[in-house]
Amino acid sequence: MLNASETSWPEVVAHAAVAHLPPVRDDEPTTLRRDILDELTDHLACAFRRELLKTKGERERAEHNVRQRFGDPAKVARRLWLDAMKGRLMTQKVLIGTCAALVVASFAFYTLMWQAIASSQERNALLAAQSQAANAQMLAEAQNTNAALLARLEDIGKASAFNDPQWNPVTLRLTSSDGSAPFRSDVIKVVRVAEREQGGKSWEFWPTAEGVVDCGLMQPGKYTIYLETTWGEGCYRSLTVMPGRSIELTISCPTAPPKSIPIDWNIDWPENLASYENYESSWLLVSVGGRLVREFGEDTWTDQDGGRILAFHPDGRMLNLSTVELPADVADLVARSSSIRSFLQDRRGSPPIVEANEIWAGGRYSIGEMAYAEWNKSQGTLSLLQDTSKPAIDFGNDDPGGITGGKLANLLTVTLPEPSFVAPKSEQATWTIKMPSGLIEWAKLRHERQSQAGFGSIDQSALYPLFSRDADAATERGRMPIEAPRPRG
Amino acid sequence: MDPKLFPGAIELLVLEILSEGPSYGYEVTQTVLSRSAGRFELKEGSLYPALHKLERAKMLTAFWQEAEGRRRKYYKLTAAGRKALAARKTAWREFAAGLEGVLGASPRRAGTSHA
Repeated sequence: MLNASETSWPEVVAHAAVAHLPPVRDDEPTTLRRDILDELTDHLACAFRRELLKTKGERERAEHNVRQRFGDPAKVARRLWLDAMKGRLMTQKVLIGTCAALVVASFAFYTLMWQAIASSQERNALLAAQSQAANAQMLAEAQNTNAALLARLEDIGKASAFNDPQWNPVTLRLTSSDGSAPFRSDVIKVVRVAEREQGGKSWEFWPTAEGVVDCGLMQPGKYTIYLETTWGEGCYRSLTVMPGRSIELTISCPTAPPKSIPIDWNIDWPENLASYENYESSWLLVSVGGRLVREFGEDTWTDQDGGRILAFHPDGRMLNLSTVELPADVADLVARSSSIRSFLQDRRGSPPIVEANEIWAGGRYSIGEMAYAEWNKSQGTLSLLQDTSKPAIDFGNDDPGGITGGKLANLLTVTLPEPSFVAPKSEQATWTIKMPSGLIEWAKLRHERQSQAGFGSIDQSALYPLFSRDADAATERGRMPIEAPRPRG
Repeated sequence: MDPKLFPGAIELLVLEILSEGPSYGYEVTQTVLSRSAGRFELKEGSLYPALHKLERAKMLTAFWQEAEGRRRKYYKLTAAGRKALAARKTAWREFAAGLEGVLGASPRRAGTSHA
């Protein structure tokens, strides 16, 4: 039989071995440590008892032998505990791993979600801004579209009020050419709308104080609009009326006449004519035409000055026969009787004082014709030197302004080609007209022979330039020969 | 000799000992030592893990009994254990026969080759 001290050693060893086990776990079976302890204790006790028997009671030797054969009880106990807990430990590891994976996944998920939310917020803000801008643009476009539709509907309504697309409303809006000055309806003499085809109809209108010219309803076609100011400046515009469409044209109009500047006419009389007896009866008739173009936006206004007839005397007097037109072709001569009458009446009495003419500043002027004339004081006639190759104009009983004799003879005129010249815009101008050499030669023949028996034609190319600034060139060209007068048939 | 030299030998020995009736760890070691004429000395560090492994594998069942004032754990072979024992014994015998055949033929071959 073993006493208590003999059996205590295995228990002590087993307890020490079990004491080195890992800490108690919640999932550990409640009897596991006890079972390991009891099994090891029983084994050690059996072995110890056997060794005691072998060693005949030598306790230390028995313990030594048992230890040597058994090995480290703590290792055995730990191995048994681990084998028993392997499944749970694995489960726990898997669970921990799974939890860790879930934590990582959750963290990644929340990170992605946070980024997605942040990105979504940015996109939403951007989309909101874009949507707002697009809405504003769409609203503006819609408003514009609506306005255009309303205007279109209004036009259609106007046109449809007459229920006939062949009649279309035409409105002209006259505006001021000067931004600082208001439109002046009083300076518009007339607004004329004419069908463009030859022989077409025309209508005249007058603008309201606001510059509106309601032309009413017009049929489709092409028209010409002509506006004229009270001082004679005019403007042409084309108008095409389409079926079913209303038309509104805007035309810029001048508010004041073009600025004019005074002009001094100076005739360079040839000295060799002064010796003739009837030299003091001589007059040089010069037709001067001018043209002024003013641009107002898209509109071009033109001075319609058709020309003026100026009669110059060697003593420096000048008569303005501006209402007498002397066209190039003598056959087309039309004498404006009132002016001629006035001229003649003035000559019968005291010489009139004629103010210097004016010209448009910036206008382009040129001399159209020149003629040499004689005043027959006793007969009260003005004889314009004639070209008998042209037919005379018989005025019959219609006294053309006091010209006696019943005929205004076929005048010898010369049509001068360009050059024209442009008047200055602000200063007084002095223009010197040099008699063409051909005309001088002819005048000399006239004075010497006192005859109207036929005249030769004049080379017109020798008649220019006429002005003092080109005097030298004119002198050279003035030597052009002329044909000898022919006997009058 | 350490029976761990042969893989599965400890489990085979345990199953064989327990096929004769329930036993406990120390008795198993003594039985193996006795029957092997002292050749196989099972170490406790190998025996108990093998016993517990077979128990978890349902080849053994265990029960506790009071003995000499202590709790003692007895192991008992199950039907599954018995079936596994039969299979392992067959495999072992085939292995041993083959091994013996090889080891037994080796001296003659050597002698023949040197003759």
